[in-house]
Amino acid sequence: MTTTASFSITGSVAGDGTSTGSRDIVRRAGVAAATVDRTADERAQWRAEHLAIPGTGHIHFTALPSDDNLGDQLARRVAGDPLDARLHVSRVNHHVLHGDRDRAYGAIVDVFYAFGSEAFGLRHRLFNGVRRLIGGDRATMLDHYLDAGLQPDSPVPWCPGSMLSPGATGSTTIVRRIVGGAVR
Amino acid sequence: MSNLESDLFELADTSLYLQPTPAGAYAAVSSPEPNAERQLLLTLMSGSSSRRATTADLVAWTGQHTEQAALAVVHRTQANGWLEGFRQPHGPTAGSLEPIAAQALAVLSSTGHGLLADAQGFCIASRGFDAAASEFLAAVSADIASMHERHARYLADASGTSTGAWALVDMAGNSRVGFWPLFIGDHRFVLALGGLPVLNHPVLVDLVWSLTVRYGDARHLALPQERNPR
Repeated sequence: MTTTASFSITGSVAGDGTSTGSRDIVRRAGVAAATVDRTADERAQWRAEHLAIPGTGHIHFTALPSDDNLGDQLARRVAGDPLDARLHVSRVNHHVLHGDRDRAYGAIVDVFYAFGSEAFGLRHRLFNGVRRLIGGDRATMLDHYLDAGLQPDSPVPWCPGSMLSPGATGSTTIVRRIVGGAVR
Repeated sequence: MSNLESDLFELADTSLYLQPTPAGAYAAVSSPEPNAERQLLLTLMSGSSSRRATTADLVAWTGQHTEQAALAVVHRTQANGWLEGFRQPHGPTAGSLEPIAAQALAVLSSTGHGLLADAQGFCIASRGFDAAASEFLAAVSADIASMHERHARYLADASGTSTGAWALVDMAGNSRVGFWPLFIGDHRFVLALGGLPVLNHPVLVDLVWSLTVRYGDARHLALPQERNPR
């Protein structure tokens, strides 16, 4: 059996007073107009700014209209543009705010891969911000690479969520370069 | 600053059993164009187990004429994160291809949606998609691969990339379903994945290795000699 719903046009002028327009053009008859939960938005904004890794809460990321959730969208954009520090900061903070230790670990591992030995300050700050969340064993492993960062041939235990890891888990020093009889 | 042309190389550890990393396995089969790195990686996946290498082996496996040239190829391959070694030999999972592929497909996508098809559009294995979607995507995979092959030269010029992978994307350009061709010997397979691809998962090595053992073209490879473990 099918039911018939009736709809009414809510008006030609945006009713919420914003300059960005309203999506509430037609609504089901008898149902109250949708309202924007500004309190929730403001709370999310406050959380993003004040519960983020210290010194990084002012860095914002504009999500694009997408079927992806924000975590996946950030992961894809980091894979597409690994040197965009803003994306890395937003991605790490996103998972920190959600308390997702596995994805936060994947995100911080990608920070280590993306910049190699460069961007020590950023790596150090973000790593300290997630150290407790990712857990002791993972933090100890990354501590080893804090100064030099990770290279494609750095062997790292399999890291779900990393977009930049080539997946090397074994020994990656098969051949070494020698100059004048000295190993480098 | 070093001059790469004049650098010398030596084997650092002859006790390691060599095999591609997940990124190396993908690099080995992502294009039909041969090169020394790809020959090395495919040779390592041509047998049923990983092997230790001597310098002479590496000369044969890379198709180079000198030891230093072969070691330079290995060095480039390892620097790309495509090669690794273990203290114990590893190999592809034994048994028929379908369950190996099905197990791999379950983890190669963030949403658990994956499919492996051959060049004729036959669905070898599928996970997460229903039967009708699998059949449809397998057929589409074959068409996309065929179309790409016809236009590959001009697509590379037009897009500035040599990738052979295609995707159905959303408004932000994010892939909803991606299609990655795998060139193995004279055969072409297509890996179709929904959601976020996880192509750096170790199971990709198992899948590509299993395909290479079955469909790899031995004519172009210097196959590792069977011998007792040293």
